[in-house]
Amino acid sequence: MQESALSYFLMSWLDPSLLLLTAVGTLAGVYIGAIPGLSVTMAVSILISFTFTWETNDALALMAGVFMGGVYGGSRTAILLNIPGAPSAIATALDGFPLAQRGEAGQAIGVTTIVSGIGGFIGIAALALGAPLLSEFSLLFAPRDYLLLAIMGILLVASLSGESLAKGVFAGALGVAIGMVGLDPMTAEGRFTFGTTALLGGISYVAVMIGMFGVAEALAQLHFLHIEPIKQKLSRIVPDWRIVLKFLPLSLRTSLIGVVIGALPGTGGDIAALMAYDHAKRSVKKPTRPFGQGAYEGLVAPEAANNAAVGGAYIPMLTLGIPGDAVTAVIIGALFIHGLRPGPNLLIETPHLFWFTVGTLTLANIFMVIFGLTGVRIFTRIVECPKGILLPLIVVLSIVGTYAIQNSVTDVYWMLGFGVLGYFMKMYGYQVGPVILGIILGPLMDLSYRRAMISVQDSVPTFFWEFLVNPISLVLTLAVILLLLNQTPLWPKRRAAVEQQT
Amino acid sequence: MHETTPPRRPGEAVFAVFLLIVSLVLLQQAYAIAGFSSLSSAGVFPMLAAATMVGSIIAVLWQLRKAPAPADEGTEGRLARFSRQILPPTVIVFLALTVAYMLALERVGFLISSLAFLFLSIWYLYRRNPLLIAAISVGALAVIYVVFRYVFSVLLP
Repeated sequence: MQESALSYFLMSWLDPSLLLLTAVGTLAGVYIGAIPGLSVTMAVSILISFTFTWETNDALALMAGVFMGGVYGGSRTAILLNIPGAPSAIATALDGFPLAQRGEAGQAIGVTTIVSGIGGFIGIAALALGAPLLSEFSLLFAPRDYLLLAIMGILLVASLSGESLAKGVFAGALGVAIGMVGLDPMTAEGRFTFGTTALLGGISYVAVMIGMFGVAEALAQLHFLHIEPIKQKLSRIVPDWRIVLKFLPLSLRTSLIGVVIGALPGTGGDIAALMAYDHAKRSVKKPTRPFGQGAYEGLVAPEAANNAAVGGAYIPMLTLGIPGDAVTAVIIGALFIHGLRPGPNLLIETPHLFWFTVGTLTLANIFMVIFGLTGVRIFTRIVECPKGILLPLIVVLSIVGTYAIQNSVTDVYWMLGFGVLGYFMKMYGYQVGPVILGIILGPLMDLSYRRAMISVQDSVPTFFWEFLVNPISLVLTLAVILLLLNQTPLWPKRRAAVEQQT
Repeated sequence: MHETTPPRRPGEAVFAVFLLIVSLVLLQQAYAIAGFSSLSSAGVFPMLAAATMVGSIIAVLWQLRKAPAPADEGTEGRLARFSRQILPPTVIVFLALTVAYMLALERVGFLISSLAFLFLSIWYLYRRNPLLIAAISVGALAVIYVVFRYVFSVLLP
């Protein structure tokens, strides 16, 4: 068993074509993450549609590379242009850009690269050690626990990323409703089909993803068409090992934050990075420079955390079938297409897939560090690609990608429709992340709810009683209640009152 | 993120009401699946989802009511602000080009429609020498075609 795990782990290292795919994926990820307007979620959504005819391993290797590279790549533009290339790099810009203004851009990128690598490895180690444990533990989970976990995931995204909880919950519920469209898997009744046969097969979730993350994002970017970024000089990338060593304890601490936040259903690298930045601000008493003016602490903390969150996000995805963030929600979609069912049985039935993923992520992490320390000149050229050229290309890729899934023009209409809806949602402060999470989790929630209800013979009191008497369910129920209370007006008032007293 | 009431954006209430109508239609559709026949029927969870949509969008509208309304600027001023903040002409033109591209895709094929779309939209957004734009469009399309046709072996429309 151990030997076979190792051989699966090394599969992508030894097979030249998988090695190449991981490298290409990571390189592409670094650039996609770096180019403002292109996000990892967008890239992975579009990639699903192009790679579904491939071997599963090939597709997974490419996506793991894009994910790993993309989370790192966002830091580049955050440091050089003060524009976070990806949401996970928002915290990086706070101290990264001041560093570049001081002429330490090469230094900052060098340190960022090494620290991202460290964070990445810790995340992968946590995945390798934690997932098998959680997988065994998850066999104890009842259907209602899955329902609670899914609700928790949607609530977490809804409450942390949007401007109001109500808008986030709406987006999540909309996603769940979209996920229900089509034939019910248990009774084969049509749901939300409006009497037409066209909707019996459901709405292709890849079309929704590409619409919301591709076209909607491209349209939103049109608002920033003529903003010329202020460029900073960058000659060479040199990591200063003394700085790296000095901040090793901090980067280890924030890596752990990254793993935990990444592993929570629904929250990923962007939130992990912000929390890590906050942690650094509170725990480091004497920073090298004040925070916000080029403190290396403020650079190290979020960058270690967001890459650690990658491994963390894979944990609930592979063991419970519940995505750790928006990108893993999209990757779950890819696994579905390849006929795999992520969940507690994945590690038992297909352990090779798990160890293969761990191995590929490790490889991608190594490539990320290599690419991060080289190729500066080409990099600045590509990142400067004007939006006027980039955005039409995104639209062409989105349309071709959507068409490619089932060679269906109807899918393209859906994609564009959801693109326009997603655009207006963005404009009015609704997040699109919960929609995607809802689509992926909706069918799982529906099934879990009905299994739980059937097991108590439709008795409502027993149904709710079970939430309170089972220890796992009780913890999860309390977590959900706490999340909701945290957002009500009562909580901050109470907290303010407590703070005043002390 | 608590209790932040950002100023009302132009058209925000209209959009929320639109979403409320969509939610109500979905709730009615969900009810039509199986009604209240059984607590574990196919219709219960869709009803829960649609009811959550209705509830949360009502909460959004409630919060919006408290949001500071911009100074009264008349219909014309409001439209101008809508066009500036939410739907600038650039977005409308680009979206129109995209829809035209999608409709043309089936009729004239992938290569011609994509080339036309790339040329027109890049020209509109980037505004440089048409010859340069043509070169960029042809080059980009060639790369896309070769990569997707041969590397990804995708069927192009």
